[in-house]
Amino acid sequence: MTDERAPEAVDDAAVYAQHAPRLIALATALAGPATAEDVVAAAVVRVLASPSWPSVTDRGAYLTRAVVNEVRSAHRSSLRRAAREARAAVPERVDAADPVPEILGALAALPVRQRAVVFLTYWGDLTPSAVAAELGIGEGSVRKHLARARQTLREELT
Amino acid sequence: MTDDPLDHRIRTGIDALVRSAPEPPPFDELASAAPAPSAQRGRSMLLAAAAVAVVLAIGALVAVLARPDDARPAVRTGTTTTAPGTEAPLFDTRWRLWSASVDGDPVAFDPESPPELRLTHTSGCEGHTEPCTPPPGDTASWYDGCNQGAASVRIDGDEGEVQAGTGASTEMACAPAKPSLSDPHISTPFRAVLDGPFTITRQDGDLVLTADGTRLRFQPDDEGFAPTSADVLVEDEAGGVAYRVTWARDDERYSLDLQLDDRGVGRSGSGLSAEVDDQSSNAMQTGVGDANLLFGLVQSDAERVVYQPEGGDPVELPRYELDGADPGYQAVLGPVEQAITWDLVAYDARGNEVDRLHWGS
Repeated sequence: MTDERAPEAVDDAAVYAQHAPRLIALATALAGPATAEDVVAAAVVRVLASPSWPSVTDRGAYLTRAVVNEVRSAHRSSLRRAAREARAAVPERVDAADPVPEILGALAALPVRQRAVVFLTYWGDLTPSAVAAELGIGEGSVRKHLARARQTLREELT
Repeated sequence: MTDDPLDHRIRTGIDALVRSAPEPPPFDELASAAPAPSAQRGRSMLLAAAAVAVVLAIGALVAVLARPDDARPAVRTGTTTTAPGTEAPLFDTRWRLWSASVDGDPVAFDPESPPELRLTHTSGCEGHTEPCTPPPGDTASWYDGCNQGAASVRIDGDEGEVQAGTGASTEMACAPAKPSLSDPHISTPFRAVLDGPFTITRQDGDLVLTADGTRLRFQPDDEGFAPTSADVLVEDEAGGVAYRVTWARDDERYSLDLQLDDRGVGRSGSGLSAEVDDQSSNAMQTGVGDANLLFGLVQSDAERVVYQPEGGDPVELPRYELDGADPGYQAVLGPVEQAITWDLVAYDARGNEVDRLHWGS
């Protein structure tokens, strides 16, 4: 993922193929591997049904927001339950002696928006301005979310 | 950032998570892979004609249930936790549709994402399990997993009636893989009840609404709303119409509701919410008479909140303190120039932008 975007594909299948790998990675970071497919599928289906989709100029960012919103949706209790279960299951996937479970637990405890900012910053290597554009929020808000996330993680991990 | 051991640990964690990511679902299997819910709380008033067309086109993929009213399980499944012998309160309970019928014929809906009904009030009926007569201004709101609506409702004894006029509702385009109130299949009976006089009864702890030949039976959900009494934030008039804004908070979110009293035309309302721990702004515009009001929730440490319509002049909005919690939210409310594309920008005391909500393309 870079700041320079490839030209947007024309048809929906091509757009999806272009963005699916990072969307599934994002969904995994936000909701856990067990729920990621559901999140991506629901987000993309909803986006494609939206009447505003054909006029969207930055489809990659639009899809990113759709995935984040899918996870954030306050009324998605079944997904929340699944996400909790998925997060609880994550440590079983790694060696118990590995320090990774600790950071996974701390990441999972962050609010969704903070997790999205952390993911785009650390995995996507995006600058705060690029993260802001991707999520449709202000750069100041990105910096604030990132600072709060890092503060929380530091407290949790020390 | 790279010299800090914390950054290395964060990267390690993120990388471990991403390595566990499954393969993305194939494009041609997305509709069937998508779970039934596709919640997108109403944030704008969009006609859903295009979505309905897609719903019809992919209707064969939709998993729906036509549940006879008497097909109740002996032991409730799902999340209902109401103890035997007790009943969920009438108000501030999340009622999930259990069965629907018109003239005795079951109506299909998605059991994984049933339409919801919530009866809210400002005061007067806290804790009641039986219908009571609350003061004017009570609201019946519904949510179908995609669209939402609200209408002022009078409940008197065992009868209820939506006040004259139509309630506010959203018409979002939703995922095709779910039926919704956009789908006449379920919207017709749901709105048949909420569009006119109806009768309320409690049956085995459930809530039953009937109107003419339409019968809707709801079950309480344990993820119901924490009982809160909404506090009045503002009572004023705009565009020749009186309005009232109330706010409430539960464990998860702040909510803001705007109700109109359209003198002789009826009452209607709209609302929004923001998650307590998310600290992200949420706002919407709504017509009030011939005026246009913006109301929203903004993180509490913002010192200045500016509405910036595309191609228009920025307007600083009045701010209203809520409960002073940290982290918390404050409300903003004011008349604005209507715009399709707009930003709501929050600044801290030093003038730094701390949050931005963007609407439109």
